[in-house]
This record gives sequence, C-alpha cells and structure tokens, in this order.
Amino acid sequence: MNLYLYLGVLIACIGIFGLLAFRSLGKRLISANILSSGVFIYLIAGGVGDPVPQALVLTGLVVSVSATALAVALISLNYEQ
Amino acid sequence: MSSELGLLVGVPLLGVSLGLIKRFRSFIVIFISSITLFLSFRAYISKDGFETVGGWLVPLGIGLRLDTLSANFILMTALVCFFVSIYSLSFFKKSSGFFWVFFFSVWTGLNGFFLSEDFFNLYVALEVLSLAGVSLVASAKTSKAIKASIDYLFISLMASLMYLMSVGVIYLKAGTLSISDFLSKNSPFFEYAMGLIAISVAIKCALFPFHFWLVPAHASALSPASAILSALLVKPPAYLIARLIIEFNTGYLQIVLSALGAIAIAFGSIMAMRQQTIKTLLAYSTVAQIGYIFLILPLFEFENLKDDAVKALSLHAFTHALAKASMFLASGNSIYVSNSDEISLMPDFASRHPLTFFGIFFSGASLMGLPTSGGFIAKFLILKGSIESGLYYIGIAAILGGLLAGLYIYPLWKECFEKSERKPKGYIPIWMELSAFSLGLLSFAGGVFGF
Repeated sequence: MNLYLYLGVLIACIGIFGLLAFRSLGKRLISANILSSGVFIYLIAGGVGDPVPQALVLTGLVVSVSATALAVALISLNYEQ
Repeated sequence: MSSELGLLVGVPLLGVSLGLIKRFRSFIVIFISSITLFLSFRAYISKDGFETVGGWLVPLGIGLRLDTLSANFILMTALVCFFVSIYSLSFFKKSSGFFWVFFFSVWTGLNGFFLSEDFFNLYVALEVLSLAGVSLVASAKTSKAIKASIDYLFISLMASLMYLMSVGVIYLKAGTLSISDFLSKNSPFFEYAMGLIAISVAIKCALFPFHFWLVPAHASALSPASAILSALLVKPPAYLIARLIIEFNTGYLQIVLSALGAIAIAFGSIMAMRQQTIKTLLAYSTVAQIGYIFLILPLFEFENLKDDAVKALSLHAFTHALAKASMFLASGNSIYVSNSDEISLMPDFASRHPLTFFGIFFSGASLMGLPTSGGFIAKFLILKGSIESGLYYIGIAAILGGLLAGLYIYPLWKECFEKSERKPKGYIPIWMELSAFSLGLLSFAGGVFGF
C-alpha cells in the first residue's frame, strides 16, 4: 500500500508543477485537477479500511467539482471578452 | 446557550438562499445582518462555549468551540459585514446580481472557520471562502477583474489542496481530526504537517513572496467586495496558524514566518507609497498589515508574553479589518463621485463630504497606530513583547511599519483638502457615507474599548 502513498505525493507534485509552470488557463485547470487527484489517492491509500478518509475524499471530490465548474465558467467568460 | 454557535453559521447561510429574492431585498438583508450581528455580540460577551452539531459526539460529529480569540474574530467579521451590507444596499442602484449570495457565503464561511474545532471542517470553510471570494472578484465583470479572479482561483485551489494534504498527514499520523486532540498528542512528525499548513496559509494570506495574486484581485473588485476581501478574507488562515502556534511551538518555523512578515511590512508599505490609485494603494497596505500577524508569532514561545501577544494579535486583526473596510468603502464613495479611482480625484472631501473624510481620517490614524487607536495599543504590546523577549527586530519592524503607513496614508488625507476646479457630482447616499464613517470610528475607538 505504501507505493500508492508515494504515487499520490508524486502526482500531487506534478499538479503543483503544472499550476506554476503553465500560463495557458486550460492546462492550469487540468493541473489543478491532477493535484487534487494526487491528494485524494494519498488519503485513500493511507487509510485503507478506515471510513473517515473515504468520507473526506468524497467531500473533497464535491468541492473539487464545484471549483472546476467555477473555473470553467470564468475561463469561458475570459475568452468571450 | 443551547445551539447559538450553530446559529452563527446557520443564519448567514439562510441569507445565501434568501439573497436571491428580489422583492423585500433590503428588508431581508438588514434583518439577517442584524440578527447575526446580535448573535455575534452575545458570543463576544460570553467568550466561552462548546457544542457539537446535531448532537453527534466529537469523533463522529463536528465540534464548534468559542474562546476569547475566536469571539474577537467573530465580532470583527460581524461588524465589517453589517456595515458593508448597509453600504451595498445603496451602492447597487439597480441590479446587484449575485452579490448577496457571495456576501452571505463569505459570512457563513468566516463564522464556520472561526468556530470549527476540526481540521477537515476548516478545509470545507476555507473552500467556501475561496470560491465565494473568487466570485466576488469576478462579479465586477471587467476583463481585468475576470483575469485576476482566475489567477486567484488557481492560487487558492493550490493552497487549499496543500492544506488538505496536511490534514491527511495529521489524520494518518495522529488518528484524529480534532484540533485539541491533535495539540495534546505531541509527536515530532507534526512539524512536517505544520510546515505544510504554514505554506498553504502563507499563500492564502498573501504573505510576502506569495503576495502577487492579492493586489490585482483586491484592486479590481467592486468597492464593497474589496472591503470584504481585504478586511476579512485574509484573516482566517492567519487565525489558524496563530491558534496552532499558541499551543504548539515549532521554533524555526515561527522565526521564518516572522522574518517574512517583517519583509512584507517593508515591501508592502514601500509599494503602497508608489501607487497612483486608491485601491492598489490599499491592497498593498493589506500586504503590509498582514505581515504584523506573522511578525509576532515568535512571541508565543515565551510563556509570560503569551497573553500580551494574543491580545496584540486580536487587537491588530480587529483594527485592521475595520480600518481597511472603512478605507475601501470611502474609496467607493470617491469613485462614486468622480468615476475614477485616481488618488488625485478625491478633491475637497473635507468640506464636501465630511463624513467620508472623517472615515478616512480615523481609519488612516488606526492603520498608522496613532495613540488611543486600536493599532496603537497593538503596536505598544508588540514593542513591549519584543523588548522583553530580546527579539528586537520585531519592535523595529513594527515601528517602521507605523512610520511607513503614515507616509502612504498622507497623500489620501492631503487630497481631501485640495481645492478642485472640476465640478464633481455633489451627492453621495447618506448610508454609504455613514457606514464608511462608522467603521473608521469603531476601528479608532477599538483601543479605548479593547481594555
């Protein structure tokens, strides 16, 4: 299971790198989603069989979906102007 | 008090949905704001309480705790939000769009954040705050505001996810999400979690190297939105780190944050002096003022200075919130008259709009820390702590920050006395003037009532 912990951290780092390195808004949005997936993998891998991290990830997913929706709305507004 | 802490979160949450109703809007907004203000006063007076949401006990349910520090922050939020809501009712002449939805979301998120006893609940409150804050910036609808809000959204998403990572580390190592449980289990591994929390907090607070997102976002929003953003939205992360460090010393981390705070004070003030528009000046001033909260973190290490440091922290946060909100509302008044936010376009306010001028005067005096203002007593306590602890740079940075604040506030005062040839629109709605004035006066009077 330890492998997944490290993988989660690695994916999160890739996401942070993407957020900082790209200027393109679409790429940054994808990087933010990669970052959140990394964090969620870390949480799930750390707490196998424990319901609390799974509940945290579920809430986190909802937050991440709404943040993505807001970002998409803002980015499309930005392209229209 | 059976469920009053829950109501502090619940009543503004009611406003989120009721704010959509166009009819009786003024009535609904004032009703909800006054009730929340009243509840916050009661919370401030009682200063003590613990309850669990829905009666579920702590490992399963969510704990809400009220203590001296959080009561202070709750009252600060309520005062600023109450006056901003009165201001905004006059400010938005025809359509306020979704302003009230975001406004009450911010209020809900802030109260939830200050009361939470649980790391994960803090994450949820933090996300509510950042999404509502981003929407507040974007609701100005100019292309500058939308660009700034996208940057703000990505930065704060990154910071929130780093915070969630540290919550994961805390849960996997300590097996608890409750803050008090976490603080009672002292393990060396927690320093990593604290380091991760510190980075995300520094990004969210726009501490010096991470300040780049704050200025465009706060300066391009509409004035009441800027007041909320600059006065309140930078406070919760600072509150979190202070609350953790009060109980849990991390040595080097406090020194690093405090040094960054000192640099932020110098950098923010110097940049503020070079600005030509009121709103960017005020935004850089926020970068400087947030530095103080980090500056005093090392004082929490000394048992005998702890009480004074906590008092200085809450008094400074309180004064800055009220003064900065008053300043932004006054800048809104100046834009209302002149349709531009150049500093040189607020002429003759001293005689034409005396209430706005006195708002600017009192809040400027509190930011500088002139005697009897809340800022003065906070700076005095910081100075005392710095001499007693031997960390002299803290006192030097605090005094220097006050002097530099004088230098960047002075142009605002001066312009209010200039005579102008241009004939400006003469009229500002009285509620807009009164709310800017009251916030300024309260921030100045904070030093008298603070003790």
